[in-house]
Amino acid sequence: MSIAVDHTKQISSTEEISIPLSVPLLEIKDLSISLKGSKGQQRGRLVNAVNLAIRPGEMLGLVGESGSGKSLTASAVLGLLHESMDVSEGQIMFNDKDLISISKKEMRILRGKEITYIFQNYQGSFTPFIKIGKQFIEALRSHGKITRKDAEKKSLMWLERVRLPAERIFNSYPHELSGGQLQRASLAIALMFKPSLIIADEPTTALDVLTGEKILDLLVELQKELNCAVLLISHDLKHVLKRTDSMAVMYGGQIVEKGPTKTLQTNPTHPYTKFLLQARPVLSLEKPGKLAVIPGEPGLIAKQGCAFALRCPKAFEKCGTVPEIRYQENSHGTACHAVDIEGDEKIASS
Amino acid sequence: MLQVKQVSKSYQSNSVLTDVSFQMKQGECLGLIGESGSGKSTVAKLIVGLEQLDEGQIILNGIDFQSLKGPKLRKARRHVQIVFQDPMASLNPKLRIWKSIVEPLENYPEVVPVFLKDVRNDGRKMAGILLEKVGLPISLLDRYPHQLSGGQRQRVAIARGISLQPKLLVCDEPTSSLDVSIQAQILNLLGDLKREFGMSYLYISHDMATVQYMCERIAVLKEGVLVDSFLSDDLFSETRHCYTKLLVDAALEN
Repeated sequence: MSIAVDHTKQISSTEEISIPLSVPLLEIKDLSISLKGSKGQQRGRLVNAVNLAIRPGEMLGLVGESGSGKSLTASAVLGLLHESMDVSEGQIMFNDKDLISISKKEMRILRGKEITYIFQNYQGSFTPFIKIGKQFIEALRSHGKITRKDAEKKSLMWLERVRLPAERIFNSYPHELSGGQLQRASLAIALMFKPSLIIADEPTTALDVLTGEKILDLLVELQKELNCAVLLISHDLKHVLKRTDSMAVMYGGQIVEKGPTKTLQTNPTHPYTKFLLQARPVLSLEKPGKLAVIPGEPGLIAKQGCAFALRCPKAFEKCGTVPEIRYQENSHGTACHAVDIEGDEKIASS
Repeated sequence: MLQVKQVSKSYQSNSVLTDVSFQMKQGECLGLIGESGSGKSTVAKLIVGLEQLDEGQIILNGIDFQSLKGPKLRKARRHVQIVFQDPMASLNPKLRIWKSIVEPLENYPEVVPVFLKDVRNDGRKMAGILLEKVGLPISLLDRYPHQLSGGQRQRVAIARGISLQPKLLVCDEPTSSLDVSIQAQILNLLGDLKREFGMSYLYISHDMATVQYMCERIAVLKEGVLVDSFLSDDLFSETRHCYTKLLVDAALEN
């Protein structure tokens, strides 16, 4: 009996979250994305009941390996899902609007202005045969009334703010710039509308180590200045651990763990998060021994229940049902039946 | 075992490598780190003989590769094998996996690696043993490269790389295109194989953390010049080149 009492206490305490309670800017609620079937029937679920919230000015990292559904989640927010997929359930609340139910036209007005993005593929951010400057002006003028002259001024100012030789870049074609320069220019075009949310999907994956670091430093710096929220998607844990306030880990279309980045880094609880953290070499004074290897075939996803169950050393019968995220202190939540039981045992013994 | 002496290389008028020198001992793993355009892949290509150098010498086991021609060069070359970043590009898409794996063994019929001596005449059996060595099931023997995952393909490339029991295996960004958990498998595998065969690795990468993990010594290449070279244990030393320090800072997590 006493166990149950303790248990409810634990849950209620988590609702008083320690982060200053501002209203989330973006709230993804029970989002599921499915492939459309041939006769309009829904088939495989690619993203399953994802819940995420980003507060104004917060940087949230979304990590996971290929096929985990992290980019799909971002595409859904931007309304850029491939036509073979659609949102089968859930809501994406941005301020007070549900991005899933608004019209394409409304989405177009939001996208690129209120919600902007930078992608891994920086070559695709600009049209190849139009000079960078012209593309900046076009973007500015399509999102609001602004004279050509003011637009040019604003473009040049933003090119300068991302530390590019503004005049020269303004008059260049995309192919005349290096990868780092192009990604800086994409960052400028994403920031110049002072958006409230930026989605950065693997922004540095195609760049060199040092160039990538500089781009991310710049992003963090300008984010603080503009107080916009950032959803940083990366397969590289290092970037997310280093820069984000909070993070979420995805496997097979489900969020398995989320919470403040520092907490997840020092005290991960989900078996998959633990593996991910131990599977990569970390620069340190002492050389680690062998790297942890996640058992089972990479990318193996259980069709029912917990997506990680087939590879999880802690899996048991109950993992055939999808675990709910249960919160511990500090808005740190884990979706794992095994962790739940361990938690209950701890409470019972104390 | 391997000596690279004052090697320079340029493509047309662009100088890619300038006066690069380093040495490797048998059984040692040397990490070569640098950003794109630093010339690290060119070093790999020169060592395996895919490119000709302009100046300098590359000496393996006391033999200068430049002085050799024909059958002698061919004989010397078998001691150096390479694993590339993109395993899809290094495996023939039309060949079944087992054929790709034994191709080097067919090219060198006179070579009998210790672990293959009982089955040297049977291609499929040799391929089977090599697959086991890299931790893949024998059921993959008759597959084609496109039927394998990225991590499996990289293992096949490694199986092929070790088939002749080379003295030196050059690994050019072998895990850059792989996910974190698959990278761990490949790095562990390379560690095991090194212990088993006493092979040396020239491990080329842009990621300081992986290089520190894999290698006893690290050399840093910047714009074709070797700017720093040191024992992995001295990575955090004050005396490191400023460029090395930048790379270290970028790889740290806090």
